[in-house]
Amino acid sequence: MNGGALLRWGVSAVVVALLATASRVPISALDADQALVRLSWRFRSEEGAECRRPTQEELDQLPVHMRNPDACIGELAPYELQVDVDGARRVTRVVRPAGVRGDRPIFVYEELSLPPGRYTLAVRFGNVGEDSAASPALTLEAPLDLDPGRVLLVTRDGEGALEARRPVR
Amino acid sequence: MDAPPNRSPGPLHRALAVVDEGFDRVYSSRLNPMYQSGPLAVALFLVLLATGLYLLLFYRIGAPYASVSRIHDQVWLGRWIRSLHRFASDAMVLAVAVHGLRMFVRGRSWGPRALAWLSGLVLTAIVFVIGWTGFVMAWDVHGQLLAEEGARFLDALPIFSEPVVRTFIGERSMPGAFFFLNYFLHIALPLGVGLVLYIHVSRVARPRLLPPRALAWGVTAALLAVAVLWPVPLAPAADPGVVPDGVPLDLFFGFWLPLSRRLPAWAVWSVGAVVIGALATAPRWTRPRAGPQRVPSRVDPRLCTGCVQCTLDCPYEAITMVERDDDRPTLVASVNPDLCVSCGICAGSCAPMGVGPPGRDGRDQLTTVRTFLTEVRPSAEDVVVIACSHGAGGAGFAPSFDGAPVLPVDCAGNLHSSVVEFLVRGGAGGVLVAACPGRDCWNREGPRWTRARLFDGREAELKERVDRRRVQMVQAGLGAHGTMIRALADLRSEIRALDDLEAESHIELEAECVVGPSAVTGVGEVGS
Ligand code: SF4
Ligand code: SF4
Repeated sequence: MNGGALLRWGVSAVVVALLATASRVPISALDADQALVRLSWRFRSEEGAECRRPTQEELDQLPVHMRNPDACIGELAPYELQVDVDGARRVTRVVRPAGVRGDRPIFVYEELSLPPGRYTLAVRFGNVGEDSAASPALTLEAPLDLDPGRVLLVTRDGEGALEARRPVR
Repeated sequence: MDAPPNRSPGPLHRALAVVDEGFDRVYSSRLNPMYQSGPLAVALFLVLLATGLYLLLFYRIGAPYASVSRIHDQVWLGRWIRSLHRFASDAMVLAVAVHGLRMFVRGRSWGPRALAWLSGLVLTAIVFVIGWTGFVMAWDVHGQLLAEEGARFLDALPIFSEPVVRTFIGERSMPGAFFFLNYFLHIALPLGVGLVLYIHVSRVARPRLLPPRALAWGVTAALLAVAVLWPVPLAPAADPGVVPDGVPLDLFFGFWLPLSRRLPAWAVWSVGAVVIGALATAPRWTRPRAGPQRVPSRVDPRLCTGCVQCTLDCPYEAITMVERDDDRPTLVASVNPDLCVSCGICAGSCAPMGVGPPGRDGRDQLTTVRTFLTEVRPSAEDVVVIACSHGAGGAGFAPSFDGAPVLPVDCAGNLHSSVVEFLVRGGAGGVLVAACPGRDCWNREGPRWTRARLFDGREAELKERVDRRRVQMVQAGLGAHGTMIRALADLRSEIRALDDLEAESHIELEAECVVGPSAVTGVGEVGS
C-alpha cells in the first residue's frame, strides 16, 4: 500500500471513528441525584358539581354525532391544586378545564424534583376558593420513600381516588 | 465583457476552501466527499432503505424494545445491520448539513435556485422526523428522552386539550397506536423524500443523484467496518419510573437536546422559529443587494442559427427553441428568465455568439480580450491564465498569478473558445484555462463543457488551427494554489520547448462575428 492510500485509509478511519463516537455521547439527567414526583390525572369538572343535562330539544338541534345526553351545559368550574411536602406548600395552581370553550375535562400535570428521602406528601384538589374545612374533590396524604433517579407517580386509581405509585412500564 | 463581479471570498468561503483542499489532497478532487455532499446523502439514503428493510422484518410493533433487542442479539448480522442503519443515518445528516452550508456560503439560495433551497429545507425536516420516529421505535431510553421532549414542546402549544406527555409517564402502559404511528411514519416518510427530491432537482438538467461508485462504496464500506468493529450499543429499555441518566445520545439527531432540556418550551419554540424563519427566508436576504446584478441570458435572433447547442449545454434547462418571427427557416433559442441563473455557459456554447448574459456573451468576451491584449501585450514566452473567479486557486482575484497575466472569467464554462484563439493569435505563448474541480463547479457543468469545447470538438469548439500544445486546462478549487502553480510551470516548460515559438502570432485574426447593436430578447433580473 503506498503512502497516499495509507493516508486515505487513515483519514477515513478517523472520520468514521468520530462519527461513531458522536452517535453515542452519554448525557446525564439534569438532576441525576434527585427524585421526581409526577402528578398527572384527568378530572371531569362535573364530577364535583351539579350539572344541567341537555334537554331533548337541545339535543335534537345538534348533529347526530354530537348528541351527548350526559354533557354538562355551561362552562365548567376551574379547580385548585395544592401540594404540600412535609407541611410546606410546594404547589398552588388553578387548573382550568381544557378546550376553547372550557367544556373539556381538566388535565393536571405537575412535576416536583425532590432530594431522595422520606416525606409526607399532601395533595388537595378542589373548587377554587373553597375553605379548608370543605371536602375537596380529590385528596391524598401519603408517606413517600424516594430513591435517587426514581420517579413516583401520583394519579387516580380505578375508583377515581388519588394514589401514589410506580409508573407502569 | 464585464469584469466578473468582485466576489473575493469571505471567511466562511475561505475556510471551506481550506477543508476542500485538504480532502482534495487525501481523496483526489474526483472523490472528494465535500464536493459530493448532495449525491452522498442520496447514496446513504439508499443504504438506509436496504438496511431498514432487513430491520423491518424483525421489528414488532407489539414488542418494540424486545424485538430491537433480539436484532441486537444477532451478533453476526442483525447487530451490524442495525449499526450500519444508524451510522448511515448519521452520515446522511452530516452530508445534508455540509451540502446546505456549501450552498449557503456560495450564495446559491436565491433567484431560480430558491426552489432547490426551500425543497432542501423540507428534505432536511423530513430526514429529522424519520430519524426521530426511528429512535422512538426502539423505545429505549434515548427514544423515551426524545418522545418526552417532543411532548413537552407540543404541550406548550394550545392545540392539544390533553397533555401529550401523559402518554409517556406510565399512567398506563404505552398505547400500541403510538408505536404503529411511528412505524407508519418511518416507512411512509421515505416515500416523501423521493417526491421532494424530485422537486429539489427538477430545475437542473442531468442531475447527478449519485456520487462516483468508488466513493459510494468506499463510504459504505467504512461505515460497515465501524458497524462491525464498534456497533452501536443497545441502550436500556425505556422506563417512566426512572429519570434517564447517561443516555447514549446520538448527536446528529439530538444535538439540540442538551440545550433544549434546560430551556422552557416557549424559549425552544422561539429559537426554533427564528432559525427556521431565517433559513426559509434566505432566498430573500441572501439575494445580493449591491453590485452588478446577475441578469439572465438573452438571445440575439439575428445571430442565432437554430443549432440547439445552447439548449443542450444549459445546466438549468432555461433555454428552449421557439418559432421565429421572421422568414428564416430555423427555430430560434429563447431564454426563460425565471430559470436562468446567469451562469453564462450558453455563451461558450454558441459559435455565432448569439446568446449569453449581457456583458458576458461571446462578442463581449472578444471586446474584453482585445483590450486585454492591448494593455498586457503578452510575449511568446508568456502564458496567460484564464481563471474562473470562483476557484482556480484564487488566481481570478489578482491581475497576475505567479508572474502570468490573468484574464478573469465568471465561470470557466462561460468562456468562448474564440477568446483562447484570440490570445494565442495575439501573441501569447500559451493559455492556461483554470476551472473549478468538475464536481464543484458553481454552475454545475462549466469545466465539463469547456474541456469538451477546447479538446474534444464540442460546439463551439476551439478551431483545429490552434496549436493544442499551447493550450491547457487545469481544474483546481479555491484553495488549490499549489495545483495552479504546478500546472502553470508545466505549461511554461512545454512552451519553452516548442521550436516554432513565434509561429502562431503571424496568422490573421479572424473576424468571427461582426454585427451592429444586438436585438435582444428576454432581459430582466434573475429571479425577477
Ligand atoms: S447556440 Fe447560439 S445559434 Fe445555437 S441555438 Fe443557441 S443561440 Fe442559437
Ligand atoms: S446563463 Fe445560459 S446556460 Fe446559464 S442558466 Fe442562463 S440560459 Fe442557461
